[in-house]
Amino acid sequence: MKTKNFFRRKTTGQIIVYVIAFVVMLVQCLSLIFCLLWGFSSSLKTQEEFSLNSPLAFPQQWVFANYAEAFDMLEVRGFNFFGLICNSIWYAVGTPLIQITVSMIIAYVVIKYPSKFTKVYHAYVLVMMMINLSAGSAATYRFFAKLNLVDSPLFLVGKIGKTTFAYLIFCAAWRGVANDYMEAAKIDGANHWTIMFRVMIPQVIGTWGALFIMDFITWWNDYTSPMIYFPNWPTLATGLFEYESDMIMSVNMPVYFAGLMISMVPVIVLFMIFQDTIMDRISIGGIKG
Amino acid sequence: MGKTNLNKNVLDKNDKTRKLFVLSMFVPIILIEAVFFFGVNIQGLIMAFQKELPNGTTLFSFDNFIRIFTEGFEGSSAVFSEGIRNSLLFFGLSIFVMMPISVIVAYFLNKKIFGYKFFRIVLYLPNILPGIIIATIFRYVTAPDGAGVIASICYKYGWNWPNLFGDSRYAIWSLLFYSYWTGFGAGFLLYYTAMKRISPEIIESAELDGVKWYQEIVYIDIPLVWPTIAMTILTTLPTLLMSSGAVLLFTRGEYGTQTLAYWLFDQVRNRANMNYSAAVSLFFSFVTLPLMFISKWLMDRVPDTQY
Repeated sequence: MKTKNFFRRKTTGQIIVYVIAFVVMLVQCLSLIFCLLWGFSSSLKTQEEFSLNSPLAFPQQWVFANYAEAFDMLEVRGFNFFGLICNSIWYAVGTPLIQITVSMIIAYVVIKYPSKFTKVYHAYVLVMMMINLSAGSAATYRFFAKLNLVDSPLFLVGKIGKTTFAYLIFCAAWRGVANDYMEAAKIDGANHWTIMFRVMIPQVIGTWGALFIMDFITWWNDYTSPMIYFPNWPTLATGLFEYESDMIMSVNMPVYFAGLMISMVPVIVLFMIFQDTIMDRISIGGIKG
Repeated sequence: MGKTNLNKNVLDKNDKTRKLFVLSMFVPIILIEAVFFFGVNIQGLIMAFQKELPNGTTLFSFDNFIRIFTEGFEGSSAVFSEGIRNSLLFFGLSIFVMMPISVIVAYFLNKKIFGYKFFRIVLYLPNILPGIIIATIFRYVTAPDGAGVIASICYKYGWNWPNLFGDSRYAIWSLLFYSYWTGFGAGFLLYYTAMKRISPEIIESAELDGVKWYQEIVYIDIPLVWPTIAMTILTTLPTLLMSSGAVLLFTRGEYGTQTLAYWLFDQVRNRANMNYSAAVSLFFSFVTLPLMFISKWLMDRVPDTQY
């Protein structure tokens, strides 16, 4: 019945197009799923099976012990698997916590407390979004090194600032929150700080949460910035890359694949739980705003 | 809770506490941002015009910029010629292939094509999974000499399967395909969210007028979500010369796959040629600067749409 309703009022041409689109997207999805399943299947093989048998062969014995062994085997620069996870956590939690919160506050002040200064600032943000004059990672590294912010969790100090994307999202979000809440709180005797923290921020906490989750996923997966700025504090993504690069001839690949599978669990779980929230909250409005 | 003034608007610009609030919230953050923004860029300027001597001292010099042309474009490796070519290929893929695909995917997902919830999750998976996972699996699936899944199937039928990432004839195209495969519909989320906001009455009215599906996309959906598309193009354009694929994960810049972005990353990672790479970053930033203004001018020509 659902299929019948879907094709109701559609011409033959439309149906053909929908079928083609369905097939194309299905092939794309199946190829992705096949690769992930192959990776999972490989993680359950022994090293001999992986090396000697056909890559299409299923595991003869499902060696789940590979997952436990991943915690022992994968060690990079003195950090074991737990250590790599810990580094990923402080990097992937700390960075969005700082940047999303700062973006939220800056956007709140710009939208709710307009003045010549905030208008100039907003125009500056829009201009700088287009102009990508950059001294690059070399200058950033050298400057951070002078401030002793490299090769340590103090790198997060350099993250104090907004991101343009989050700032624009929050600008749109704050425009949608009525000033009546502020008026009512003011009448009740609240000061500006109370109004912001206890009345207004709760109005956009969903947006904050969605952006935090998206950014958490981005920083959890980032492997290049840790390599440059804190190479002796490798994250899980960096560690997995460097482990395979350094040990290429002697890596127990099934155990390595088990490590890869473990590393994707947090982000998949987060996305599956919050996918509707993320998709509902994220939209980009006009750049002229 | 203290004295209240019912006549005082919370946004009253004469309210002294308002000024104090704005200063306390705004100024510290802006100052810190300014320190890092100007600090990094001034550092970059200094490095770009600095030549390091063997005895460790530095002197002011234009050598780094001269080197861009003598080594980067004309040297034995001409790394920047190759890098710019490949960066333009990745950029072209992003704008002219991936973006239209994303818009079309968003259209069909918005139409709730059969299995749309499944597609929505799976197509977005490459965006949320660590790149190292997908790249490693892809590398092994496409490995040559019977070691890979595809190669082993080809060998059964007597076909050869090339070394995709170890042969300069195929490497860059394989990287482009990988970018397409993992980025298929990757941008659809933004367009999908924007299209969801389009009033169903507009679409139904168009359908009653006999509008075909491609006319709906071209004349209704795209104009209505144009601010989102414009934003995507505008934020992508600055990366014209810095577009790159998964070079680090597959080829490390060998076999004709060098990109500017990877070259810069490699220099900093190895702490080599730091001053030179700062000069390169600045130089190519200035080269693409006019493009930014042209892009903004073009975007402004398209009228806003309210719905």
